[in-house]
Amino acid sequence: MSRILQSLQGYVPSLLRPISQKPASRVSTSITQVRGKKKSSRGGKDPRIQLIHYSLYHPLTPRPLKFSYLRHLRHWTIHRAWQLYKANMRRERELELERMYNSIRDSCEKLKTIGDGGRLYRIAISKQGLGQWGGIGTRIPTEAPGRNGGWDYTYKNQ
Amino acid sequence: MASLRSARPSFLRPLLNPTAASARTFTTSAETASTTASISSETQNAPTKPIDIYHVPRQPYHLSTGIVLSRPPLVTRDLPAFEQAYYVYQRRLDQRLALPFTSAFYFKKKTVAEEEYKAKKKVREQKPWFYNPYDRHNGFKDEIPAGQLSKQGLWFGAGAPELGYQELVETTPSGEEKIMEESQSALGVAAGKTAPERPYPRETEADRTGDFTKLDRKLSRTLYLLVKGEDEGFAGGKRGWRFPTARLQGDESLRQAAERILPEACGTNMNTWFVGNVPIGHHQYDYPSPVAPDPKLPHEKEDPVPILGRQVFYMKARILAGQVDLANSKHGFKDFAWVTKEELRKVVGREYYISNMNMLASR
Repeated sequence: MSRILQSLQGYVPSLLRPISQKPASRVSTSITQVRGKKKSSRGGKDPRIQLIHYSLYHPLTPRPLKFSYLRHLRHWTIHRAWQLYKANMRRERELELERMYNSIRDSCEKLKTIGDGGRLYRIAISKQGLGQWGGIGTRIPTEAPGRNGGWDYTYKNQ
Repeated sequence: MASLRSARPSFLRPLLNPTAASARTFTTSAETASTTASISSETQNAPTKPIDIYHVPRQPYHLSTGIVLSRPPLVTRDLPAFEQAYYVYQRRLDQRLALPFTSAFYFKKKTVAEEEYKAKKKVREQKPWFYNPYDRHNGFKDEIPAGQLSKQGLWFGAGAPELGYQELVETTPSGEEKIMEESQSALGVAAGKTAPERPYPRETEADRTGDFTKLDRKLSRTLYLLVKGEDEGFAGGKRGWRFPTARLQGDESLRQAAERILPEACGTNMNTWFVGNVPIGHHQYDYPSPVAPDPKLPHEKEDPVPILGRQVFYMKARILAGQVDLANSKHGFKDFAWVTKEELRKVVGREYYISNMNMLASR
């Protein structure tokens, strides 16, 4: 399979090739067999297979990026700025979570000191009955709000 | 407590009884039998409650539960300008490094889809933001000069992707117009009556009017419920915007108290979910002057010390649907508002905000 593909590299269907690039003559006794082999494995005049080959082996390929000194400097600056930005975002998120956790911990420590023998504290840290997610109506954030206009105000009587 | 007492060795027990200790000397086990009679007679003559060293006196503060009821964000966050510019930059580089689009592979010749593609391609090529990386002379100009993003139609300001969606509809073949045509003709509706469905705007009516009681305001942010009421003993005697708070009753836990208070204070027309048993924050403050203890409460009767202030423990809850209804509020709240963290900071006092800010989400 790979040998056939290699032999087909650079092939452009005749319809799409500019006229100037068409070969003068297709008939040549010395290479008839080779040409014939190529045609049959390309599917002959089957346009679907020709299209697939054209898409995969397009004559125009992306040029490798070659930056001048200043262009490269701009690119490097943007890259560094983005890395910094992402690092700051991550750090902010970590710190916020840490603050929330510390707030929970400090509240539990305070609960221990209220003088009821730690009863409310033990109830607070108890995991009995928990484990099911109760937020079944929670809407996952989307790019735009839903058809109902953003919020359901019609809910009545809990 | 009884079991603990019995676990203590007998020679230590006299030490804990202050009235009896002064009258007694240490005796050996052989002599305890003779002295037990005298000990018991002495305790009967001077009955005093033994000091329990394991008893920690109750703090002289009223216990309260506060409810932090939040509406999480309903839409994705607003992209800052830097992020949008970066994504445009990366998109251009990606276009430079990708193979050209072979439309003949995707759109069969002499079909309606191909016609739509050709028409939209013409529109796309006239757009100011159009970039062809395979253009021999201008393919290298992939950068956009600073400040030119909005002029090129690549940035519409934070939180307005619906304008970008309009451009997308104009330049991308999707077959939607054809489907709309066919469905309209099938239903008997006149052609061209309805356009392809577009996303609803992220800025709602509530944003424009600035109505703080609405829950579809600031869809990309978390909203917290604040209530205004005349509660005796609010911080420093001031009455203002606070989280709904009320005192614990009986022997209920913090979560039970919160689940009782919320419908009592804010109505039953809300679908809420309390997240766990753990308090997410606390706040202690003193009343302007100490309050007399209530003899009806067992722990206040036991330790009749004037109550200095209040200890509040906040429980986290989420609202899933519905709205606050203060009509039959049992806790005297007069007004409510749904605010973001910054708005909360402006409305409540500095001290209150500092005690609360760590438990609130910034987005």
